[in-house]
Amino acid sequence: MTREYGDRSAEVWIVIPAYNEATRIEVVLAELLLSWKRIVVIDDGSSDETARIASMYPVWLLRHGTNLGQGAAIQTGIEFALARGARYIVTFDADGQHDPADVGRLLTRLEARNLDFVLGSRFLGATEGMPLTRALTLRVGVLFTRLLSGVRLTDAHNGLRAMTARGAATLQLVQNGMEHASEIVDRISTSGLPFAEAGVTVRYTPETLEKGQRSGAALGLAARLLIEKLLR
Amino acid sequence: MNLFQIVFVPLFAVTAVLGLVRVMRTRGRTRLNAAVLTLGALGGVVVVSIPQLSTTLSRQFGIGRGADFVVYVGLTVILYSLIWLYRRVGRLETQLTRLIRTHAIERATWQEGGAEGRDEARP
Repeated sequence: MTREYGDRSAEVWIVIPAYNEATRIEVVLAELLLSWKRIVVIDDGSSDETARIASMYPVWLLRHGTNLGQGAAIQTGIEFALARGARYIVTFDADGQHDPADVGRLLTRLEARNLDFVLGSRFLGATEGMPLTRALTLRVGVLFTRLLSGVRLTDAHNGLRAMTARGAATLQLVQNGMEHASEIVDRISTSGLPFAEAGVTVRYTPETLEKGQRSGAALGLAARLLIEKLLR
Repeated sequence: MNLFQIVFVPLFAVTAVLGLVRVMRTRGRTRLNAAVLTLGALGGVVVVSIPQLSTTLSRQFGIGRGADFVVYVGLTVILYSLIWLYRRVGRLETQLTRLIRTHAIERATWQEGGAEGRDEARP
């Protein structure tokens, strides 16, 4: 399937932040490698076999000496990919929530409409097994992001995003934790670069729900973002 | 002297002395912080030793009781300290992140992964 995207595959770097994903990352890498050959896995200080599993595949492996958070891992991956001459960068979760087929769709949209960012939206696409509480939390997150950044989105916290090198260079994420999702929207807003959303599929399984953010934690994230905004 | 004064006057006095030593031994921002600490501790010695003084002072600010005035000042100092600490921890975290990131990028490894025909993939 790498052939399907031909030369474009060499211009696209997939950035995968991974923390304790030993049981899930194997399938993700195997599926992505069918279509894409520039993959960067950032092992964010995992205490399990994530790095060893990733090393079984032809990917670039970067290891954080300690767990910093998903935002920090994404920024590390972006900096590495840009230094290697990436033209397009896609962020992709390591837990198997995303459909690898969506990567091509986001990139097609990015190119066709001359955008710098295409953000995946599960509410424009499809979800499998999403609990009601998660849906409500995400909706509140969208509202919060809209108030904070003034950007109207349907899904502000989706890990699947495609961006140009120019767009990626403007991000410069400083929020190490899950707050980075709102920070990305904020940076896109201030950069003035063109962006759009595109429907993607997000699959929820008992494992991904166990690993994912608790709804209650969203309040903590919102508080931290507000404090950062006030003190910056 | 009551029990409160017996406990807190020496406590504030020792803090003031330690702060003064730090003022003399350090420079820049640390010296400024030590000076503020010393002044605060000296203020504590005076206010605890002469309780009437805080009441007189509080009336200048339109606050009836000296104890209330001390609480308000204390809360303001604690709030300032929390903000200062928060920003300092933030700066340290940023430095740590940069260090770990640089290290990770410098030590990035290409995994052959045993996959056949993928050597051309190595960027």
